[in-house]
Amino acid sequence: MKKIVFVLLLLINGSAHTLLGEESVKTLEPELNDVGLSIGHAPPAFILPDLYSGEQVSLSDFLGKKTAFFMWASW
Amino acid sequence: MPGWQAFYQEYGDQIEVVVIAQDAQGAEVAKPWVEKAGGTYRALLDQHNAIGKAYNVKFVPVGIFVDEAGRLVRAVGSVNIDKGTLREELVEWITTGMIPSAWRDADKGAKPRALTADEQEADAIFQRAIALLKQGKRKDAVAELKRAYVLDPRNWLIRKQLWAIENPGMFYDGKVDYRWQKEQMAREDEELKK
Repeated sequence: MKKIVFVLLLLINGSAHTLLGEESVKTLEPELNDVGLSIGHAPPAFILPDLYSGEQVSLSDFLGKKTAFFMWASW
Repeated sequence: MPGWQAFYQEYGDQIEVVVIAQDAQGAEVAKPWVEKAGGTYRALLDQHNAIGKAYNVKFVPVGIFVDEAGRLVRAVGSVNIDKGTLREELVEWITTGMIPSAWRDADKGAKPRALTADEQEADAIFQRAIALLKQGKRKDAVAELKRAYVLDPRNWLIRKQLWAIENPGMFYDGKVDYRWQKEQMAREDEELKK
């Protein structure tokens, strides 16, 4: 049965290379609406002002770099 | 948290560090403590509990770690970099790109959940209180916050915020008085039982 499914997928995708390629893309890139609070998900978006300049900063501004966000308070 | 500044100085070329101040009283109250901590990393202000609501967070300090592609590598959790293994784990992630097993083990597959009716009501009152604060109506803001925390008593983003606004001397004159906080919590919990 597995063989048949594999062959069918090969027919649909054209080649095993494409199949693997799509699989790896899927595990690397979260889909735009794949929001979650667990590993591998895009955390909920936010836009907040910079404490000093007041400039609006978005979560997506940090794409391209590892980022540690920590929430704290004066109290 | 002096540990974060030291960490940022050492690894700032490989990781962005961002503190999000959960201060309803605004930048004038948030700036001094960020500066006191010696933080030269990025600082944002969340005056309206935006993070609390979106991330189902009810206390601080907590944090999240996000990779280059914008994916979480660790769920909401402790950010105490001065104690335990967190610093080592962060360094492991930065240098190898691998998610530390402790972060995977702690992941509970949490999903954002909608606020309950009481949480929503508490938040609506909280937002009104902030508007009153901005108008300089401190007393009215305190009265509103006292209504809000009763609806969501385990939400320390509301409850401790109230303490700080009503009793600034316990928070902003030198050291934070943790003994007073314990007593205040006990007093309120007694009230809540009634």
